[in-house]
Amino acid sequence: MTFAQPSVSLAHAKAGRLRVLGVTSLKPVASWPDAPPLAQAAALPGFEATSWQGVVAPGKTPKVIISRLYSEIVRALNAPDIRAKLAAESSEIGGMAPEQFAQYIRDEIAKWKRVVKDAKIKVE
Amino acid sequence: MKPIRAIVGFAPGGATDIMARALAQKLTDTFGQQIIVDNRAGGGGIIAATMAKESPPDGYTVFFGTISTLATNVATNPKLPYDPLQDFAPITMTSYNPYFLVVHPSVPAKSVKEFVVLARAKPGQLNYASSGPEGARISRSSFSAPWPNSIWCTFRTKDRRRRSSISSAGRST
Repeated sequence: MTFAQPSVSLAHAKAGRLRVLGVTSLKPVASWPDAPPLAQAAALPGFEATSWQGVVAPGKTPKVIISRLYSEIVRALNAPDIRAKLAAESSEIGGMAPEQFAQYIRDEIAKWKRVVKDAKIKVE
Repeated sequence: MKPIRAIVGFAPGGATDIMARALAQKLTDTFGQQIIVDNRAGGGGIIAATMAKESPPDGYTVFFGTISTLATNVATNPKLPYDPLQDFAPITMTSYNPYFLVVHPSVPAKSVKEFVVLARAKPGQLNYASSGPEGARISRSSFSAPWPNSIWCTFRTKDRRRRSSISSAGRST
């Protein structure tokens, strides 16, 4: 078994060389809708382990500028050619609002700190 | 007009860079504001993040971060020279990529439940493949932690190339 990103695993899965059992996101994804989230399929409530990308600005950037950048970026993300480009790479589209993204980052930091501690991971 | 600088912590051609360039081009067209991608690779994105943190907070600098530069670095690097939440103002998550739990078709499991039953029945006999030691540890620990003593996988692919590790993924021995 392995956990593999879509860019690596889905071509093999389509060709029948790998069988997809589940996905590590909280919700089903567009790139392989049949893959059940492990949170349900493996009875691990809240289990989520995805790789993500996001945009931030220097800390004291005024809120009005953040809001403007947010609306412009979301508009660009939803443009058909950008959506197609993301879909071609089997990437899922984000777009969460600044406050949600801040909370998400906070939750992710807490989660991965816990994983590193519980698994006694040492940095080399 | 002053362009917006979009700092990317990785070399041109990588996933973060491709995303940044596509968005920068689109924004330049739709926003009417030129956006220039500035690749500052090195230190796993730390060089770029530090540079972004020290840039004037005037809207003319944005940073394309990732799960590593904005979250997991905090967990793995006690000397991280920036704090993702204190030093940055989040704008939005642009995209995400899940991981798929995959097995070789010869593995007699059609679902996660069946796979867990199989792994329990054959301790030490299922191989776990990974694209690299970090991914392996994270995936393995996050997957096995909630099921103590349940997944016993042979760990043998540390230095293999990604493609070969994927093609042999989960082949039972």
